[in-house]
Amino acid sequence: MKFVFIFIFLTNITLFSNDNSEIFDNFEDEFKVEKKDDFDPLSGYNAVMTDINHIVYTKALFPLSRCYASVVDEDIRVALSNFFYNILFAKRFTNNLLQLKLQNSVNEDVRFVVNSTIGILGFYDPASQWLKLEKHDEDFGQTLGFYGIGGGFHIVLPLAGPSNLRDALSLSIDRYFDPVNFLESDQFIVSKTIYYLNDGSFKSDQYEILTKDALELYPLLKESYEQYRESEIKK
Amino acid sequence: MKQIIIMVMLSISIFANITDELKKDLQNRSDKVVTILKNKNLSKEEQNSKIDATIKDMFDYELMAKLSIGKDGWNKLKTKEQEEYIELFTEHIKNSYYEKTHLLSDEKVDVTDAKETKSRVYVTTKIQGVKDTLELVYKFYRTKTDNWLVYDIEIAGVSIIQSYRTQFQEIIQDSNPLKLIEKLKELKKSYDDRKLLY
Repeated sequence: MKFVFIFIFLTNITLFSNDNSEIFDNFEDEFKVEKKDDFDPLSGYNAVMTDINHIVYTKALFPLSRCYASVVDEDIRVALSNFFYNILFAKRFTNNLLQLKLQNSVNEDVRFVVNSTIGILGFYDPASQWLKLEKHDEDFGQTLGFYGIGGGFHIVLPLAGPSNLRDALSLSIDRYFDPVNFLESDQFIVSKTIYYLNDGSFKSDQYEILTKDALELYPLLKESYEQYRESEIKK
Repeated sequence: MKQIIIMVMLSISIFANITDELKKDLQNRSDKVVTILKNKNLSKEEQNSKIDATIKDMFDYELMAKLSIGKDGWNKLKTKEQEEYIELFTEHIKNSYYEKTHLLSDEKVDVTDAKETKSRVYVTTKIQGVKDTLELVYKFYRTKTDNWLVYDIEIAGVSIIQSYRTQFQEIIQDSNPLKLIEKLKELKKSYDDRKLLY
């Protein structure tokens, strides 16, 4: 009897003292541990550029975008956003194809034809609304990721924000699929300004949601970007 | 043999019911939160306390706090500091949730899917915005008392616990863990200051 009592007592102590350890062990494989030697050769520059971008977004771009949003009706902003999205069709189509996602390439093709015609040059999105054809956004960075090429070290780009070696280099390929890049310089500047203002009118809230409760801005944005890209590559 | 088959059948049906039950429960709660947010007669404070009442028994805030700081960070804190940390983290994550939901007030939430892996259930919800759809995955685990509680949320593929973990580790590595408690206190103060503006 005494033995049983001691046994129960000891088991309880062991269980109790291991309780937290057990909790951590049960969940440990679901969360990665950021090691001290995490290869981040540009961390100093990245942290400074993150702060600069944050100031540019919150003090210049987003206030301007909110002014723009107060003047330009939401329907028009959505239509413009649809237009800019539609003209990047070739990028999505090619990268879906390169990843052998044939059904997605076909869907992108149908989406482009329907939205460019019935959707009046892509300002409307009947492919999503009526045909329920989902968007399959893919870029060259995702294609490289699909074939097992890792992101490499993190790089924060001026204005464009978080990126990594793979994705930053891929931008030089993706730019050939954007018709805006082939416009004359004055038309290019006007188009890009409209694009960023319009895009900012939707993204300002999202950025605010993400950064409002940040304890450390650079690690938060870096982690979020890398996780987001990983999940997009896995799709 | 017959008994074993019946037991297996029962456990399968119980499990199937649990994924369905969690989906249904999350849809109900999400609808309630959207209704609260649409009720413009309520002040933000009133909305927050109603949202809290709707969702609080769904989350394991203490576990979320522990997973965010990680085993090493947790062990570096003394018992009193651990209690203070959990209290501050819980308040922080709740405030963060309220502020995020207020920015999503005009959206529609649909629970679309539930997947079971080991003793976890991942329930996917889609928030339909004017332009895009935002995907949220609520991660549930089974507690020792057979309850199902949320220990993490993934927003567009980004785990909030992993994001906290990376930030917290940065703070703990560079200085002592008490700095984390100080930072959480600062954030609480800035939230309280914003509350005065409601």
